[in-house]
Amino acid sequence: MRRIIWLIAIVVVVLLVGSLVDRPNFDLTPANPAAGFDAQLHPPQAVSDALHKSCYNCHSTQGEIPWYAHVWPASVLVQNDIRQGRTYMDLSNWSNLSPEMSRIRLIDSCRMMKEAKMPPAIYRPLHPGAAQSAQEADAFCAWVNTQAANPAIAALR
Amino acid sequence: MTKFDLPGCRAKEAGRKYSAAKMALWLMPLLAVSIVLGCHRGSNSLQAAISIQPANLLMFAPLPAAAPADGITAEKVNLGRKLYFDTHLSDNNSISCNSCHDVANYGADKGHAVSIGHIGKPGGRNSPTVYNAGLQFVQFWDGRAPTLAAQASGPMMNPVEMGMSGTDAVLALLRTSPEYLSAFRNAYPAIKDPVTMDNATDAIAQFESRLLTPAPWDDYLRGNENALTADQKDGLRVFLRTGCAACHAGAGMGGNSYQKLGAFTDWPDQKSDTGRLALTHEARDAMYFKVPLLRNIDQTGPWFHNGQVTALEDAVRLMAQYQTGHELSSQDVGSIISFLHALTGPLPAEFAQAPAGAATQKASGNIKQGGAANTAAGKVE
Repeated sequence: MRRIIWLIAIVVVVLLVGSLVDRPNFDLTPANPAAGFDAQLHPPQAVSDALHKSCYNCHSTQGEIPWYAHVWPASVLVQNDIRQGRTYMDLSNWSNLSPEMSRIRLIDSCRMMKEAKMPPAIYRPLHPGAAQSAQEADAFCAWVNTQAANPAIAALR
Repeated sequence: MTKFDLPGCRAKEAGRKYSAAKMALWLMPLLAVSIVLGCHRGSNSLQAAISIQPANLLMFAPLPAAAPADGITAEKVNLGRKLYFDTHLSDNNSISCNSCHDVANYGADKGHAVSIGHIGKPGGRNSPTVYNAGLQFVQFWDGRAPTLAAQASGPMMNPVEMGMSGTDAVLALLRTSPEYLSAFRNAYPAIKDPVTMDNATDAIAQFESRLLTPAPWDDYLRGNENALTADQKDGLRVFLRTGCAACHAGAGMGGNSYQKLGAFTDWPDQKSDTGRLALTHEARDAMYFKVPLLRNIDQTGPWFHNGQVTALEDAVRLMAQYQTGHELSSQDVGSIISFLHALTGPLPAEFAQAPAGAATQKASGNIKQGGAANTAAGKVE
């Protein structure tokens, strides 16, 4: 019994020291709501909801950070996911994109969802509600296809 | 050190003792593996063969025939070209647009981290190339000008750059030149008094919009599989796998978004240049810059907003590390650079030199030397 307590104590100390020494920096500077995806592109509510459910945790500054994300070494994983996710697409700062890049992001997102590459397989077990259904992916792609008429992302430039 | 048993193991391997040290040794690799996985999961999951199929190339586009500009005419282009090369548009007749954006040297200020202005003082950031600049969604490193025309007047009036005291000084100069008067009248025949700042910058923008450099990459995107060498195709795969195309995409291979310098790992220098923060004063814009074009990137060093990176290898390595969280091997860096060479096209012969009769002294020939200039130049070099 004493050994188990020792073992647990060592693990707790390692995690605690790790968490204190290597503190995560999620870089969640609050964005101006007007700069976000919803305000920039006005997607239908269902599309917006599906994105909030599946994408915003890593691809925005509005993600919900779970408690374990502050515990090392999970903190390293979560920090890297968020920071890498936001380099590929930042839904909170959509106004940083030109119409051309906005279009590129949408087309790419459609492809990622259709091929079930996003959310990534390794993320889904811990976030069972995050998976996109085939219907949600179809609805997103159908909306992307209508966006040729949206002046915010219309022609290439 | 206290000895203790690991109960689970004891059940299986009767009586075998584990020391605390061994336990730690057993735990550490697990932790290390999880960290390494965390740091490099991107590259691991991306190791799956990246095929350069059409679906993977949707984010790219070949160069258009000409960058967008309204009502482009030969007269306007010629007037713009004349203005672009005219050193009289600087306070002491020493520099022109071309001094820092040299069209014979891929439109950049070759070898200079930042350019030296009319009185020998350094500018704030590295001079971006003028070639293909019209493809960008905004101009300047921080995007403070929405168009080429809006950009053109900036350096002219900038006290450090060309140092004209104001638009009146520029217009007075242009109106007293019979050559310019007729050039403006030819370019803007419908306008009664055509010598205006708007027309001057419009003409410069029209000239600049012709400065495009189609490259092997464009042939490749149009379907010529042989336009890229095997090495360059390998480089394209590494480029895609590393995530470079998240920002360097579109017709210009960049120039179409603002991104945070140090998106994955905080950029070491958070003080000397905060990017768009200085312009917008919004916290969310700290360290955000316009993503530069990758076209002709092997010809436009030194690199980055401050021109502090003098080797393309370092530029590629730093970008992968700080922007996408990938530590690239030398081989991967070399591979990406092979691909970057495919983005460099020949200069358009008709525009890559000064027009006949232009007054085109290089800045270095006419710098007023002073104490400030010397210290400043020392800082830059």
